[in-house]
Amino acid sequence: MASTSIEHTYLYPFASQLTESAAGQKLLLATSQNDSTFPYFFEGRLIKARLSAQLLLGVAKVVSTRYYIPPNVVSKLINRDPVVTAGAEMLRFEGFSACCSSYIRADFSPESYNGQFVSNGTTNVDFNQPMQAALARVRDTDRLAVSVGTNEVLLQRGLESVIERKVDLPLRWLKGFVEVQSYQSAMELRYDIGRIEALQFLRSLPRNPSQRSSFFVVSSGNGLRLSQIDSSEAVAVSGLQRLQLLTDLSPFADRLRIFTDANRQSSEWQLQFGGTALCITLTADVTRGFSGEGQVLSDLKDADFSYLPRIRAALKWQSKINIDSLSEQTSLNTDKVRIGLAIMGSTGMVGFDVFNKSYFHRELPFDLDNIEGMHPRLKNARRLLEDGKVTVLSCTTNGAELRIVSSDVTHHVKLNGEQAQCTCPWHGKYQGLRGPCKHILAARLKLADHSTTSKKHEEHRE
Amino acid sequence: MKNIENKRLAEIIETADYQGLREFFDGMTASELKSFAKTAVAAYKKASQELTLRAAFNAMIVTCDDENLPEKISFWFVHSSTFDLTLIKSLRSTIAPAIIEKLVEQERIAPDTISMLAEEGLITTPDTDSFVKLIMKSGPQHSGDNSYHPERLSIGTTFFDHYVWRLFEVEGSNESSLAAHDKYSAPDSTWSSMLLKATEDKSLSRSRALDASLDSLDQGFAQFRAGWHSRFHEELRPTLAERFQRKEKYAHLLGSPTPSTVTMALNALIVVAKEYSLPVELILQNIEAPLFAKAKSTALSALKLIDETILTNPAAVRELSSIACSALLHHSPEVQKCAVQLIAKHNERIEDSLRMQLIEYIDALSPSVRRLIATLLNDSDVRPKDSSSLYKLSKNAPPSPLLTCSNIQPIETIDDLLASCTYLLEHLDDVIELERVLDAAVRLSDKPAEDFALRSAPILKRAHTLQKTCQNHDGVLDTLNFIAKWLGGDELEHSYSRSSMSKFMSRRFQTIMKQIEEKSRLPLLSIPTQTNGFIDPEILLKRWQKWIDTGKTPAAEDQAIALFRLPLMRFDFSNTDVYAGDFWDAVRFASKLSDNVTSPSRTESLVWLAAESVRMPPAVAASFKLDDEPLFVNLGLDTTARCALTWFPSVRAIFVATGIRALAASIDYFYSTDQGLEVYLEPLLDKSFEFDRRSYCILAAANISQSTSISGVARDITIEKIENRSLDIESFAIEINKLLFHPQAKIQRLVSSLSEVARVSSLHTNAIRQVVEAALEGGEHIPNGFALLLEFFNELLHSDNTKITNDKTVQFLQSIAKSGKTKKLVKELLAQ
Repeated sequence: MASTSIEHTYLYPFASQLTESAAGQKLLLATSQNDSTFPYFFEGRLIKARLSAQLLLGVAKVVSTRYYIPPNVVSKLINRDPVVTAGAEMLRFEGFSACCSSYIRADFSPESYNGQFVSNGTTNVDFNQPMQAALARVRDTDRLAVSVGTNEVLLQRGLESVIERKVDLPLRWLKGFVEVQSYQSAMELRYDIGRIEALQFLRSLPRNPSQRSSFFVVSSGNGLRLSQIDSSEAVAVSGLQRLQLLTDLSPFADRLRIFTDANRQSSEWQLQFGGTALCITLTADVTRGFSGEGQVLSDLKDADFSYLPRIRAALKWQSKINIDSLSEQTSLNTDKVRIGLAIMGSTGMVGFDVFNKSYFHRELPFDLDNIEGMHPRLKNARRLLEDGKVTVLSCTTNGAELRIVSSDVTHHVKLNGEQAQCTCPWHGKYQGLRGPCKHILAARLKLADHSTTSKKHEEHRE
Repeated sequence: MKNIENKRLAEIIETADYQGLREFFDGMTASELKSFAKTAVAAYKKASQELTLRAAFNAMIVTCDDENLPEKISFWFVHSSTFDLTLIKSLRSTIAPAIIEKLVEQERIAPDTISMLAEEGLITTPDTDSFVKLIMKSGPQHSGDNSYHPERLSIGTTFFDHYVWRLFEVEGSNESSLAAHDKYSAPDSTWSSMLLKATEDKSLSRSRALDASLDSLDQGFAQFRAGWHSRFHEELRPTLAERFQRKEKYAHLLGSPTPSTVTMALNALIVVAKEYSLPVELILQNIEAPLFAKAKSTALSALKLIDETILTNPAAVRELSSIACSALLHHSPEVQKCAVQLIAKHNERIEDSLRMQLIEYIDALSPSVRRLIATLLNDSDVRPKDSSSLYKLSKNAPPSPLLTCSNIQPIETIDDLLASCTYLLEHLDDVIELERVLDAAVRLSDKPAEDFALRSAPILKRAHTLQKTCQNHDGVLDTLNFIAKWLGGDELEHSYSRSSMSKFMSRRFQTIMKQIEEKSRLPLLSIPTQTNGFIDPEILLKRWQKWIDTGKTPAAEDQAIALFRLPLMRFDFSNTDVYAGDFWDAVRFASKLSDNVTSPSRTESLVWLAAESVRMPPAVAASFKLDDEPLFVNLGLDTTARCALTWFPSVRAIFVATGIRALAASIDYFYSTDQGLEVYLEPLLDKSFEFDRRSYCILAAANISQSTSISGVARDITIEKIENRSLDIESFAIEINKLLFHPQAKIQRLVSSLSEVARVSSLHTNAIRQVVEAALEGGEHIPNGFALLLEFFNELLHSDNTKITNDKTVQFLQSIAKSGKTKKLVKELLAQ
């Protein structure tokens, strides 16, 4: 049986801590070793001390929460740490809930701090319990200095007692990281409301709704309300307990923005606090994790990896990747750059900022070499192809029909452009909303192969 | 040689031969002892009897070190007598710390055993959080003679000076915490009683206890565990001077995320502020957070503290008034009102910056408070009343059911049919998709693809799999049986269900199956053309014509359902005179075009029973029978009920009655509401549905359902009906009145639901104001929480810029003999 987790080692020079001195409080965030160094990203002061502390705590809270426990499954608490990215004067802390149904990111823009960036990069950051307890005590009157990573003097001292923590990171948790940007890049702004309306709406959310209850967010007067009736402009949401953090922080927010994708399979909820933003991205159902969504499968299947190194070379920790300038730099057309970035997103090398509608460079500090191996559907599709289980019945300009011999039954796949039909239960259940099934993937791979072979035959005949 | 010795050790342990064990290890060096660690551990893991366990445990103690103790080992509980001190002391100077660490972590040892081992010099007492948690869990083991004796503590007097303060530093866990221990202990055996006595005996510093409890509250502990510390702090009964000394700590706690901590700190500061002048900076820096607290009382207390502070520090009035504005964002009108009154009290003239702030918050304010602000700002809040915001019931009849929903697109090809089947198997409650499949299965029955069996094999396999797991779901099983029969030729089983509805479904599937087997491409009469289950009569006529052309007659079940699916009262069937026969006679009879019952077997013909049911809805449950059983009973909450709703749309009002019974039970008896009840509210979502008394009854009841989704559906219906001006205020108010003055009235839920509706627009506010006003015409039993409704009504009147016009409501309010808040609100309502 394939492994469902990877062993990942967090290696910190010291435990993150909040220290007090006459000059005020200093938050020392320990960064995990990358290659041979402990990254040192940022030194400065967060302007709104309490709010900043609450946002960091919020990230820690989501990362340590399991919103859904499947029946007959014993919840195993894994001590995961969030990921921090420093680049182009932006500090981003991101993480995933243990059930992979909720992604959280706190963005600190230059307006929210006084300080300087020492270097750029991505790594894990230690969010231990005592540090979290100390953060809970931070008030607005406190001066909160922050150091993400640390300078050499401290590092040398810290190296004497490096903290090593080995954790088994479930593959599905890692897959969530690469899946979420695929949804985010397809999202559009649906609602943008001010402070008072946001406060009223978030406070009106039911406190203990059933996990399985589905709701639709619709406009109501100047604000928003929950409805049970679907409509074209509504944002679908369930598992409302995942939004509790937003309710708690709403008194301090300036705006609430809600984004969703065309199929309304996920939504992003963004609270803006001046120069700081908190984004929570949710799957359509709390029982669904981003890991199982399969939105990146088509990208990975079609991946022409030959030009990716050129795009990768042009990534310099930009907080907003401009597709046009990247196109100029790489001499690739904008479409290729766009597809390239999507593929890089699916391998964890870029994230997506929904509000700015742009990718940002970050490289997840996990071993993602075997990213395709993490996608059993794609792996199984390739196996079907290798085992000769896929037969093309017809292939015309109107579409193609293929027969795929599965374990003990033969499935029939019909392709017509982006449209696809399959007789398997997965496709029956999700109708492609959670990515293609292995049979459709295998069929598309076969067709790609088929058309290449046909072209060669034609060329040979000529 | 080594193997033999290992085997011997295992045998000694197995037989629990202590003398043998001592002799075996006697004279061994440290490295020799270590070499037997694996055998000792293996024997411990294998042991199950007490004596064997003890022998193995002691063997482990003498052979294991931090290095060779396995990472994963589960210990049994050890008592002080488990340790063979003679053996251990003869062989080792200390016990491996890792063993003690694991025993403590796994809570398999008592603190007094640790104490005993420490006194023997075999261990150093651990100072880990796990050990503190162990002490918490073990409790003080107080003797219960109402006097405090440190030596009676489980770990002895040496513990006291150090560990007692550690108890305040460690949060603990679900099972091991001060709060958890005290919750399940006798009052005189709790940690708080012991520590209180210790402070009284002066063996524990009172001052340090006061500080330690406040410091614990600043650690961000979970609410339950933090609660112990705030209670303990108050049980110490700090004096005014002691509280004043700790004012900074209290002020800092105002920002705590734990409501009980904030309340405690706020109350302490209010007490202090009455006697001492608190540093204004302290209040300025910390008072905003509790103004955002959910609890009304906390926000009110915070405003009270601001008030006290302004009185002693008038110079800070500007800054404190500005902070008080945050209370205007509170959901409670009482808090908002209090904030406005505070601002008005201390600001003779409203400065520009404060004015701007008040204006910024105006949209968040309750209508009654908005008026206060207008007075404060010398502004006019009287907004001209837009006639479009006055709610009046429209006289237009509901639209035709053929216009209120989308048309069903028939399946055209075998491929699409198989795709639909694949979908249907995973969405068996999609009854409209089922109808599309039934329709296509018949229409396309004569031209299956050559490889139909091969193509449909995965679907058939899936149907068989689902059949095995869906034994108890009538509607689902009938559908699965049909698909299995259609694709695989299996025998279509009769339904053994007790539900007559399910039997009817089964009969319908059988007749359709027969038609498929005959490869008759004649259309099924009963397939809906609209997603709400209705059939467009024009299309029905075309289908009928096709049957006439072949000289055949549709099945009785098909005819009956087709009749039930016709919008009989919304279509002129007079042009159907050209068609003779039972079906059309029955249609004309059902639509009241004719009173003639032409069939001699009226009580046996399904189509005539259907016609009579439609024409005389009250008798429907009794008259439409199958094998002498009424069809519309025991519908349940699953697919059967959903099928029934789309099969019999012209009598869908009867399903509402079934829903009322189920919903009433869930409200009255506080049962958790069954989500399936939503199915009975679904007809009300159709704009063509004609509301009657029962419909308003279920709408009102659903509005107070404890299920968020059911009350959500009810709210959506109410909002939409107001938008369409089709909500009959009087009928709705009568039903609300019944729920209001019921002994088990759910005022909070009702207010919460109706306020959501009222918030949508001024039209909705007006309509809900009328509903509440009419609902307050009178009742016998004044329910608990009635003031909440009156407060809501007051806000509605303010928002609607009107006063009570209904004389009966005025009389009723005048008749209420209540005191306190209710009385005050009644006075306010009548004064408007």
